[in-house]
Amino acid sequence: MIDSIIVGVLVGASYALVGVGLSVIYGVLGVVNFAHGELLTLGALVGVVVFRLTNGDLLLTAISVLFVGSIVGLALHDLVLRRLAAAGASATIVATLGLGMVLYNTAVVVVGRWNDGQPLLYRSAAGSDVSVLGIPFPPSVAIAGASYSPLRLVAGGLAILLITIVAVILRATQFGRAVKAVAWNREVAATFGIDATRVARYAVMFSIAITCLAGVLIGATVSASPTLGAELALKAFAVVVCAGFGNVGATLSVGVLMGIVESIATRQLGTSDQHLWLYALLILLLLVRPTGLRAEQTVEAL
Amino acid sequence: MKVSAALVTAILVISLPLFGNASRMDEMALALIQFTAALGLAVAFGMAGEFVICQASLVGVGGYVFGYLRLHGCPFLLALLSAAAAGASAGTLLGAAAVRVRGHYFAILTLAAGVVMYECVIRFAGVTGGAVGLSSVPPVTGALGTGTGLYALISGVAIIAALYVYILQRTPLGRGLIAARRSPGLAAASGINTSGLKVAALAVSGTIAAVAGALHVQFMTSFTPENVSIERSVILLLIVALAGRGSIIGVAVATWISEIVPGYLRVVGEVRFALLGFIILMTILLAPGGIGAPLERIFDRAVRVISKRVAACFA
Repeated sequence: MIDSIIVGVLVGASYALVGVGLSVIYGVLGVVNFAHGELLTLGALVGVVVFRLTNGDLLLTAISVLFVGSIVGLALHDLVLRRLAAAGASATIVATLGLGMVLYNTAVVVVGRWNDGQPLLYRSAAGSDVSVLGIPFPPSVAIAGASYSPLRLVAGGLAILLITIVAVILRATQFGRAVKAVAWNREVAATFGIDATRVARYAVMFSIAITCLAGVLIGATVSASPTLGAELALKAFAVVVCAGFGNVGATLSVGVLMGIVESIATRQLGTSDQHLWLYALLILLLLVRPTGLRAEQTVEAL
Repeated sequence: MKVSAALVTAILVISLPLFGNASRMDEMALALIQFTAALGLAVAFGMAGEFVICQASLVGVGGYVFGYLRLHGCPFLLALLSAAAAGASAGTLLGAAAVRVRGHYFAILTLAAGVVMYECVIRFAGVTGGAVGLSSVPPVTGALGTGTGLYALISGVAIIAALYVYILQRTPLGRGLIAARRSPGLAAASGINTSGLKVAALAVSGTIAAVAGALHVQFMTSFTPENVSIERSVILLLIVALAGRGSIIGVAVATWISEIVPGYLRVVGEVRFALLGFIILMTILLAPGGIGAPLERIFDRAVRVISKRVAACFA
């Protein structure tokens, strides 16, 4: 039971982080990034490589993937999103869908060549499963009589830490306030001396970086495969719809809650129909509350 | 779209078989079917502005209804009409949803609808054949029994669909649709029934897609769940978006890029889709408004120059 709650928190944290990423980009640029799931896959796959190279150091893996994610975010903003800002939402959607196709199919080809198309596990070459800054963890950790995978425990701890950091950055820092201002009104924010383009650039970098990191966390808990991202992105959409676009606090809580509910439900009910019911429920929710459970774009809550 | 562009479109469509030998006729027929399905989406997305990310599901509705009926002894025409009716109903349902759910939320709704459709196709194996799909659909008797006859029918339907969209764009109905997209408030204030038009646009889109699906099933004599995958829907949306709003020649060229060009480059499977995604990304970066408008300008200029030369010869 505790293990399925840990998995639930981890999966939910990924939903929440991907959802926050979507929300932040939507806030500052007014577009939905349809390549988000594939960028998560990218993070998970880069993470596997670094994880194996560093003999299972999850912290080093997380830091390197954050770096890679920021670079990718910078490229995405400067080469794609900013250039298409004037052309309208349609062009941006096309570009991000196209980018998603490139990333997904490249991932399928690479994983197919590398690992015969099998999902990649976060396993280090050394005997120990996971270590942090060179200090190895025992192969299993016993808490109250039951044993748990240390990789999952460390990843769970990182997920909670990350969610806290993201919430603090967006609520209490100068950067978070600038993002909120640009999301509310770009022109007014610019009048008050905020460089809207720069804020948008940092916001996209931030959002892609945490999405890639979410990929590492989910990859470490389950496994990394090319289809990981697309599935997760759809669920992140569901989370963002429930919480309302631009509502970061609600996105984080709804995401974690959904992960825990899903994990327990899967354990109790089996896995066969979960997608069908989840998306049927999402459609029903949208038909009943066309702009999500919360009111659209509540800037105060961002 | 100018007359010259329409001409070039028609020539491009009809002459598609000339680009390859008989062994590549399958590819050409499938490209024409894709063109038809994309034209449906050109009404829903290009004119009405609704982000429908489940067009392949509508194609699938037509395909599975048609295939099921044909496998149970139903004549060709009746099965085709039933498929069209099923597509119209599915489109109307989507339209009713579009009236209530707007913008990005509607895009997400259609994405979810596409997943639900795919999962249902896998589950209800009794009707759809499950993961294996439908196979050995009986051939039509008479002139349509041959591959060439069926190919002629497919090109005919594609051209009729293109003409239909071309004319629709010039009727009060089509102009109302475009007005309702550009400025919903003003359109409604000037007496246009924006909700009704939206439903009608999606019903038309569903009908055209379903007919395309039915033709696909008859031509290939089989249908697999892969045809209703999200990736197919995304490709259809990309074709229409790449074309630019409401440009039929844009749709034709974009279909050509997505269906024929990868075949020429001899890439298959995932590499093909990766390449396609890259081409689309680059094209939209170079022509953010879509390729339709620049293409129309180029063709217009070409026709003007050529007609001037021809006139000079006779002067």
